[in-house]
Amino acid sequence: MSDLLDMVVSGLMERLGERAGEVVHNKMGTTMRVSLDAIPATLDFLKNYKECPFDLLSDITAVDWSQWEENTGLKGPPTRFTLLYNLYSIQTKERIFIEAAVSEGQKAPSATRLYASANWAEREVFDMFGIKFSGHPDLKRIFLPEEFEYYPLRKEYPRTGYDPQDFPQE
Amino acid sequence: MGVSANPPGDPSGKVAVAKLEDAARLARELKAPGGGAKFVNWARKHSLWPIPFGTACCAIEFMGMVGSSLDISRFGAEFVRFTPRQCDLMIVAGTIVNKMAPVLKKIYDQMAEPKWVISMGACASSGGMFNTYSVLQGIDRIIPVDYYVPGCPPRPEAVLYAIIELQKRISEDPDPLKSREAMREKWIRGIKGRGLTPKAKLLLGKDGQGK
Repeated sequence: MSDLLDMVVSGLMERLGERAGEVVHNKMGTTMRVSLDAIPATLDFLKNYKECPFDLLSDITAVDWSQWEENTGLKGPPTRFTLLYNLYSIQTKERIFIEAAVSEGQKAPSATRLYASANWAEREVFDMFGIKFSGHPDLKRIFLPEEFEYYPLRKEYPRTGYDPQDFPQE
Repeated sequence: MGVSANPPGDPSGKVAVAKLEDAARLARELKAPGGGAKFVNWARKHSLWPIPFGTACCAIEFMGMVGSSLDISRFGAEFVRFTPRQCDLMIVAGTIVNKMAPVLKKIYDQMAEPKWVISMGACASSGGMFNTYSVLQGIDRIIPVDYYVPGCPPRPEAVLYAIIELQKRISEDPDPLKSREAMREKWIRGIKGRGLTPKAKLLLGKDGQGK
């Protein structure tokens, strides 16, 4: 981790206090866990950090941990979903990931007021995982047809859907 | 300087005579019963207007087919139009997702009769490698298909072969409108026998009659 990113992370921990979780460094980069209600404060801090503004929200995605323990035998996080924000600073070429745990049915705060690109990214997360965002201006499906009833990236959803007639039986 | 009746480049007049004999044979054929249909079919098979329904990489291969090195226009299917109302051959090139399926059906319905469909590539023919919830498992679930071209994507020559085969079929067809209708009825019976899926019901109507 670069000194600059170190400074950002320590500043963020100071700002969030108890709401900040652990920081993980691996090959992918630096990931910081925060609580869900601290997401707007975190993104606001990172976007407006003077020496290293994270002005590009590359992506928002999510992880469904619901079948993790059965499949791997390892202990997963207590909540079902994890939201993952991927932020990039164009000036300094630094990247940071922000992770927040979301349980089923819980609403996540929308980042659309800070990043315009969060609009479609959050719609994709809603389309695939069914995680709802409070404060989103137009939260509807983005890829799948509007009459689609399921959230296909949830682990219990079968690859070929719930309508086996549409597929050749082997 | 005498005036010759023969055209330049043909001093003996043999070519002109051969052409006249050809024309006379064509005229005899046209006079015979069924000659009119023969002539119409001859014109029809050499003036196929394809509409490319390109949604994926097969459409790139389609461009190679239209380009000068392989040149679809050598076979009388030159005029690629992008409006279905002027076309009589639909080439579906690419993956059709369920969200796109109603659009494909609508465009097919807008084409004038008689019309033919070539399904280009594995995805359009059977869903290909996309055996998932979001992809239509073959366009023959919503529209009737005349020729399936295998490949991922197929070589342009393979699609040209399909077009040549289609032209053979057209020239041997005494009444394209009637045979198209019969083919469509057979297709509807086929998909009904397989069991109409909820998606197909949505697209084809309750009776499965399409339009």
